[in-house]
Amino acid sequence: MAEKITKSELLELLNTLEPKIKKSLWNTRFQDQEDLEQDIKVKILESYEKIADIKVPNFEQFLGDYLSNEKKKS
Amino acid sequence: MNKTTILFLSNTFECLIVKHQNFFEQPIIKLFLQQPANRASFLAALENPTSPYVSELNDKFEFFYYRTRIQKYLCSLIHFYSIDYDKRERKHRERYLSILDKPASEFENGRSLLELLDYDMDMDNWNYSIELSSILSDEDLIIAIRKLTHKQGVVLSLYFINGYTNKEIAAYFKETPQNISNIRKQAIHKIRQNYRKRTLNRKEDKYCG
Repeated sequence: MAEKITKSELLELLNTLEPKIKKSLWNTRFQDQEDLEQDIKVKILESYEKIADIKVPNFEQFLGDYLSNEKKKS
Repeated sequence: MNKTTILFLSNTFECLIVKHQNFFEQPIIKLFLQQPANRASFLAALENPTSPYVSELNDKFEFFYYRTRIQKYLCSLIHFYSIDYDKRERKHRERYLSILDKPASEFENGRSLLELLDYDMDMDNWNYSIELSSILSDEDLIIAIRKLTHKQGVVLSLYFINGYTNKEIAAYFKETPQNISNIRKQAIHKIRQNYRKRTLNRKEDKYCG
């Protein structure tokens, strides 16, 4: 099992996503942009539990899924 | 370690690429193998398909996949949340319009919001370009804005200060929204050019003069 993301890592990730957030602000009019920016950041921090719970396969499982899919196709 | 993995890893890399082309074309695998450290551990597992190497590969892949999923999740979250937010705000604005000539509140003796604000409806006498530069503190920017034509200044301040849409400004000038959009774009372009020129000149004076 991969180690779960820590809260400080999430904060770092939030910083790296800054340009993406800035870009998405143009989806609303500029009077609301500051509010939206704050809302998005809060939303991301709130979704920590959900993010930490994301399940991913490891290499073997991924490979196994792929191979069984290929078998079904052929 | 299960048998399929061993079987898969018993091939050479070149052979695998030919045999399982689809596998290596998946974006996640592609990106995973692009990183030198991951590629090295994949090649190591390929050379010695024993459990320490394979479990290292497993861990690395899982870590990588996990981070990628989070990134993807957050990007979608940002994208869709911003759209939802705008929809919600728009709905709110459309439903709860502020009525200017209704009594503002019970404490104001029945005076309307319009009287309280003492709002001057005469838009023609309002000097917009002064208005726009008076709310800025950056001197270069103010000078750049002063170089605009009167109309460009009016369009910009209607857009940025009053928050009018292109359509509303077009109705005010009795022109098409496309034209207003063009005027605004040109104005911003002009400001940007002038601003850059000024700041560049100043830097040159400072460092080369």
